[in-house]
Amino acid sequence: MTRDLENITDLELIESVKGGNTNAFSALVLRHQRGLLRMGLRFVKDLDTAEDVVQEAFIKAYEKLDSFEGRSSFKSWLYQIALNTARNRLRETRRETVDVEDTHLAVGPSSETGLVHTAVSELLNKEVEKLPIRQRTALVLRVYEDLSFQEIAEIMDCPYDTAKANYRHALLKLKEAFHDRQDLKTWTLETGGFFMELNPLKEAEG
Amino acid sequence: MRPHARTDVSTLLKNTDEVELPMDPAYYKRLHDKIMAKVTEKSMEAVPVRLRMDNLVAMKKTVSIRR
Repeated sequence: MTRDLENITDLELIESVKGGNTNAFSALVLRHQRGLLRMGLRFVKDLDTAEDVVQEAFIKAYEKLDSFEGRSSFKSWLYQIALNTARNRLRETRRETVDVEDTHLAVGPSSETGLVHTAVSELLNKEVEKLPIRQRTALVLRVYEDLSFQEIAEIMDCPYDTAKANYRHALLKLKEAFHDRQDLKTWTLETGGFFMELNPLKEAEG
Repeated sequence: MRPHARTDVSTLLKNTDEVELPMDPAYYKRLHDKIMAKVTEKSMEAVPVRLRMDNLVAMKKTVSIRR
């Protein structure tokens, strides 16, 4: 009897790939390519480059699959590979270009919220881009990928508390960036209270 | 303050997120096929037997016994 793909775990697929079934790897690609593309895009900004990152990450994962022992989840392991690949691409790009105009984070305005929203987006872009890479990584994985700190720690290859601290520091730096911008501060209070939630840092627990 | 009006920094970041992934399923099929075309050209690298975790554990035990 065949089982639905959704009911087969990553580990079962990996065992099947190790046994010579390349189709099982195809299932892993289908399962994870979208998430990897989204994460890659946040770092490299360009869809073509993000595609290359995803492709390279899957190829590396396939080549190294025999060394995967399941001590972390396959997803964490795969994201770690993709993250390192994206970082390498970024380093290469930065060596090749001095065009600072291109260095912006992939967050921005949505049309319905107008100029202040644009200003908030631009400030966030700038400030997130200025974060040290480990803080930025923790922030991206937590906020946009909704990963747990345990998963983030596995991907960043660091202790749980370090992953959490990196995320907290990133949030505090964003708060500081808004501190002197009364205009934006008022807007964020009206639309939801950026600062009210920063102090308890409730979202940092998890 | 309005009840439930508060949001957090995560929400603010998400609300200003402009990353837009392709929606067309054909895009993901093409990406998948491109990846698999490359993968089928590759082979898995065999892990040296001595570096496998179970062997390392066994080696450690052997060393301990010898001591």
